[in-house]
Amino acid sequence: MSQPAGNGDGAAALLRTEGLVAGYVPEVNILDGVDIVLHDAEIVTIVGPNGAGKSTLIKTVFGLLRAREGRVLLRGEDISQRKPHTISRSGLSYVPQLDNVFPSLTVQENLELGALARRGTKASERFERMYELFPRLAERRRQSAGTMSGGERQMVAMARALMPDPEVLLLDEPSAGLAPAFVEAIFEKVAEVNQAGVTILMVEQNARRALGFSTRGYVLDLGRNRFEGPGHELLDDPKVAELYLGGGSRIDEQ
Amino acid sequence: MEAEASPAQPGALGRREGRASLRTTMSANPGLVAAGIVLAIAVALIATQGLQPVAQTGLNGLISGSYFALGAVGLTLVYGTLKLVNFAHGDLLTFGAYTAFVANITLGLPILLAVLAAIVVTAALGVFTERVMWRPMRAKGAGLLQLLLMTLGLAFVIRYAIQFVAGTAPRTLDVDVTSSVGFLGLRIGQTQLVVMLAGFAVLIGVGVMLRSTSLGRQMRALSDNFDLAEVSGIDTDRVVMATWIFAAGLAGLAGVLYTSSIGTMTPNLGFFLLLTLFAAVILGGIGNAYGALAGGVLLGLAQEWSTLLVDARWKLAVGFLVLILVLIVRPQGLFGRKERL
Repeated sequence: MSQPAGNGDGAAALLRTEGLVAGYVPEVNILDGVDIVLHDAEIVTIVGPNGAGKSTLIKTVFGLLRAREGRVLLRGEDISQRKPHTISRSGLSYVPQLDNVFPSLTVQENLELGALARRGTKASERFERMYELFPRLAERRRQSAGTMSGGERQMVAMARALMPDPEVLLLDEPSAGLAPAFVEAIFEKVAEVNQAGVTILMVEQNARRALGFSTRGYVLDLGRNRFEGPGHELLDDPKVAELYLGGGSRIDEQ
Repeated sequence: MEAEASPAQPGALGRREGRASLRTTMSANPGLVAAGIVLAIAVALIATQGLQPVAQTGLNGLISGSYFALGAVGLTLVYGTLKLVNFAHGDLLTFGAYTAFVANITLGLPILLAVLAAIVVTAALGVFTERVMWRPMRAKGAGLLQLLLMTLGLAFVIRYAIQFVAGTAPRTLDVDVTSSVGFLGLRIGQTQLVVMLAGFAVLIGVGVMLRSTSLGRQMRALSDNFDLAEVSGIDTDRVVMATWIFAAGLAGLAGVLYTSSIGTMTPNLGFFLLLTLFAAVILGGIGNAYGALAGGVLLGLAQEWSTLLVDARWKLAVGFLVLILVLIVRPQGLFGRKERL
């Protein structure tokens, strides 16, 4: 699975973007031709400086932003013109960075809404599975999500996104704004979810930590992918380290 | 991650948890807190004014509270879901009342059918405005101010259209406004009793629907976070349409109940009710459906109970005084949540 994401070989790719161009304001492209590939069971992390287009990429893949050019292929099928609620029913799930729970709804209700996009599996089994994965939520299933801590809400958001039993989970900065103890815990959960067979595409500021346990990574800058490769190779690449990982100390402090 | 909250001393933890759980109870059950306050006020009033007048005015309060609540719940759902402050919502009540008038008096249909007609036709008007005005405006990315002015404009269009057709003379439905029933020393008009019972039956139905059905959960989810609802797999266009049907239909019903309860209708009735409906919405926590239900009933009680202490002419002002007092203590409203950053 850690072969370099070459061209061609489209059938084997689970998710692929081809020359993706997108942006918020007319005439201004935040993404300027991004090509990334995701294979079954991988963890792929996208790193890059602020404003590189990392979150924009995830939003465009999920249909929250219309692709101006290029395509998004899920198992070879173009999903770039679909609406997000349709995409979430075809095996993709997304955890936004901010405002990723329904605050006035209880934990249980948050998960029930996630189950709307369910394919196949019985909802009751999925609930059990989620409360196994996040025991903390099981104790608090009747608490409204808005009264929970940042780390707990991140768990609610992940559990909600996992309810439909997705093939691919898109995570936008899962560790942003969390206390260090929770950052570690969230990354452990991400690895655990991946072990269970869910492919992960993740954007992270915490680049060193994230690349450390990723199958592969991409470095995005100015709306294009500049470097790619297995996570540890990117970490060891002096050019990547110098340009995008702050040469060492700065990122570690984050 | 469970280890993070591990206690240092059992005793200290017990105290901490005790306080935390009290706070949680307060914020998790604002309904209980509100009910407690109402009860306290009722007890104080009974002690000073006597049981009978408090019970009688309380009954009157529940009657007006039922149509306030039905009007307010649609207003708050539309705001929560679409961030649309709908100044035309009051005129949907008027529209419902006059639709019932046309069905009941002009066409001679029985009152039950007229009520049904009011609900269906007003819901259709809600759907129509969504299709013709609000959805296209959202697609064009219209700002809050444009939308606000459009709702104001729509309010005038509906009101004067009704006035153009029906004139300004007060109209009445074919309901019995003279007989009354007495029980336990209280008197209530027969029609008013029906209004109150029907109003609360629908209110409970609405509450159950919002709480326990999938559609209700989806409506509350949209009201919380529209984009997240869409990415969670909710067909937001469908839920928005359902919200309009629901909001406008209930407004139509509230209009008929109001008219039946006070006896007459004029083209201005919804416009005068609108401020009270907004107050109920804000009192309950803007965008929160349960809050609007509770806020409507609370305002009804506050207005009627105030007549024990001051002249009935001032009851509208007393309602707003209650609103201001609640907001000073709890700016987010009874059921609203503090915004977290």
